[in-house]
Amino acid sequence: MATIKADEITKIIREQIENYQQVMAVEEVGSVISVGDGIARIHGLDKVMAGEMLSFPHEVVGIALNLEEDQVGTVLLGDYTKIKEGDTVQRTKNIMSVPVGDALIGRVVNPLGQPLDDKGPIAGDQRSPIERLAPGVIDRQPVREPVQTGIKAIDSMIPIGRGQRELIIGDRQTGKTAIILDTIINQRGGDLICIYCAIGQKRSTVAQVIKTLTDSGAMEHSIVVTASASEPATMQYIAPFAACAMGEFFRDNGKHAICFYDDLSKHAQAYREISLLLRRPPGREAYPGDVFFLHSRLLERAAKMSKDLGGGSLSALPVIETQAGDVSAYIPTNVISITDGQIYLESDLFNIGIRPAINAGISVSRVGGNAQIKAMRQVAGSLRLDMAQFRELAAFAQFGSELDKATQAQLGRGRRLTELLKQDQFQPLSVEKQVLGIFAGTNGYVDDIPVEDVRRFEKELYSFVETNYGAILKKLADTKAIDDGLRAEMKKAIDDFKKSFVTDGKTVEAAAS
Amino acid sequence: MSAISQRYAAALADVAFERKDAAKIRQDLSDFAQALAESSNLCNVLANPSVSIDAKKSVAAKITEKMGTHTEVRNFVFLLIDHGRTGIVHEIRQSFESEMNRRAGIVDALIASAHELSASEKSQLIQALERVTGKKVHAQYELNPELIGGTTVRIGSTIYNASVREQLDRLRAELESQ
Repeated sequence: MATIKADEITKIIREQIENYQQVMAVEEVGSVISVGDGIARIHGLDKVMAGEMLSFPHEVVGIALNLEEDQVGTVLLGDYTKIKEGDTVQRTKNIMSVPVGDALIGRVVNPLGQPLDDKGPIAGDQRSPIERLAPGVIDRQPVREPVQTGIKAIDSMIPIGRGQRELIIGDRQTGKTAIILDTIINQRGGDLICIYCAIGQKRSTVAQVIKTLTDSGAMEHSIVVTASASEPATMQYIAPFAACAMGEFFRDNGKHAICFYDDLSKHAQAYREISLLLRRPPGREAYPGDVFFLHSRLLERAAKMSKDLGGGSLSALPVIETQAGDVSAYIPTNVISITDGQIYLESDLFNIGIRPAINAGISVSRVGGNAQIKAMRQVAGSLRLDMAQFRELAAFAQFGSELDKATQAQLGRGRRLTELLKQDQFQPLSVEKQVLGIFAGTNGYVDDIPVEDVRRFEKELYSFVETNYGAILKKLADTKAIDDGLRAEMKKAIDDFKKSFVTDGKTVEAAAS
Repeated sequence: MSAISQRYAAALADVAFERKDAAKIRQDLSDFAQALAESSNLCNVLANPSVSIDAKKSVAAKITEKMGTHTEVRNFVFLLIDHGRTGIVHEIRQSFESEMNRRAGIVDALIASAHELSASEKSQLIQALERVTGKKVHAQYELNPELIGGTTVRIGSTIYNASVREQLDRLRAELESQ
C-alpha cells in the first residue's frame, strides 16, 4: 500500500470542507415515551412506514413494527441500555435492508450484514430489503435440478430439488446440523451457493460450524449469517429474512443458492418474545396469530424461477427442533404444512447406530422426485419398496415366531440395506457411487454378505470400481441413466469384486461352497 | 395525547363547526378546564365514585350556569360525567385545540434561534414556512445559544434544521466516515 503524505490528507479534507454543500436538513422526529426489554414506544413520527428503520441516539437502530393511533411501537437493534425517555428519534425513510452480492461469499456476517470475521468491510454497495414479496406463479417453474446432499439415504429416498423447501425435523442431538454440514461440504466445486443462518444458537456451536466449513474448504461457496442466543430477540427475528435476501440476489441473477435456517423453532420463540412485548395478543402456546404467516412468507421466497427470469433457484432447508418427538406442537405442524416435505430424524434410530438417523417411513419429499437423475430413480424405486416391506415385516418378526424362507430373505435384505444406507459424518458421496452402491443392494449382491461386513463391502466396492472399472462411474456421471449395456457392465464389475472380497478369512464364494 | 381524548375532541369539534360557534365553545371549554384545574374540591367531587352521577351533574349544572357556559359545552361536561372521564378534561382541551387548528388550517411552529430574530426576519421566516406547509403558521419563539447560528423550526414531528450546529455535526460525520 502506498503511503499517504500528511499534506495530501490535509488537501483532501480541505477540498471536502470547501465543497461542502450547505443544505437545510429536514427531519421527521418523534420522542421516546417508554423503553425497555428491547422495545421502545415513540410519540410523533406521523408519516413513518411499517418496517422502516429509525435512528436513535448512540447509533442504535430500530424497526417500526406497530403503527398505532397515537404511538409507534419499535424494536431496537443493538445496545438499548443508553436510550432514555424523551430521546429524539429520527426517521431514515429506508426499509430495513442488508448488503447483497458476490462479495458476501466466504464471509461471516450478522443479520445487519456487518462482517463478524476479520476480513475487512464487505465490498460493493448493493442492498436489498429483508422483506420482499415471494415470486408469483407465472415467475416460477417446477423444480427439475437436484440438490445433491451427498447423503445416500436422502438422495435416494427423499430427493431434494433446487427451489424446494425441505424441512429437517427432529429432537436435539439427532444430527440435524450434521446433515446441513454434509450438504454444504458436498457442494464443493459445484454451482450451488450455501447460506447457513444460525438463529439463537450458542456462539461456541456456531464457531464449531464455521471451523468445520473452513477446514473442509466449504467456506468458498458459503455465507454464514449468525444471530446467537446472546443477541437481542430482534436480531434473531430478522436473521432468516436477511439470509433469504442474500440468497434472493443469486436466485434473481440466474444462479443457484440454498438457505439453511437453523433453527426456526428458536426464530418463532424470538418472534413470540417481540410480539408479547409489543402487546400483540397471544394465541396457541402464546405465539402470536401471525406466526404461520411469518414462516410461510419466509419459505415462499424459495423458488425455481422461470426461464424468462434466468432460471435461477433458491432452495430452503429449515430446521425444527422438536421436544421429545412431539411433531404435533404448534410450530412443527405449521412448518410441516408449509414445506414440500420433511426429513424426520429420530433419537431411537440414532442411539441404535443408524446414522444419519432418518426415519425413512415418515420422511417424504413431495416434489424432489422430478429432480432426481434418471439413474438414481431407476435404482431407488426398488430400494424404497424393499425398505417399506422390511419395516412392515420387522414389526412382526419381533415376536420371534418361525418365519418362512421368503420372509427371512426379505428381512435379511432389509437389514443389509439399512446397513448400506448408514454413512459417517463429513463423508459425502458422489451420486455415481451412491447409484452403484444401491444398485448392488437392491439387486441382491449383498444378500450373502454378513450384516456386519456390509459397510466394509460397500467401501471396498467403491475403491475397487474406481481403480478397475473407472469407465462405469464416468459413464454414470455423463449419461445419468442406466441402459442395458451399463447394467451388464455394473453387474460384471460387482461379480468381479465379490471374487476378491474376503470375510472371515475366506472369499464369499469359498464360504458358500 | 391518548386516543380517547382525541375521540372526544373530534366529536366536540364536529358539533362546534355545525353550530358555527367554534370560538365560544373553545373559550368555554378552556374556562371549564381552568376552573377544574384551580379547584381541587371540584376535581375531588367529580372523581369521587361515592358521589352519585346525578349529584355530580347538578354541581356541574350550577357551575356552568354561573359561568354562562354554552349549552353544547355543558352537555359535553355531562357526557364526560356519565362516562367517568372528567379526569382527562385537560387532555381533551389540548386535543380539541389542535383539532380545531387542524380544521382551520393552522399549524403550530416552534422556532428556535441562536440570537433574537428581528421583526422582518420573523415575518420572512413565517412567510416561507406558510409557503412550504400551505397552512397558516402560529409561531412560538425561543432562544437556544447551543445552535451557534441559524434557526431550527419544528412543525408537528418535522424539524427544519438550518443551524450551524447541525452543519458542523454533519461535516464531522462526513469526515469520520472516510
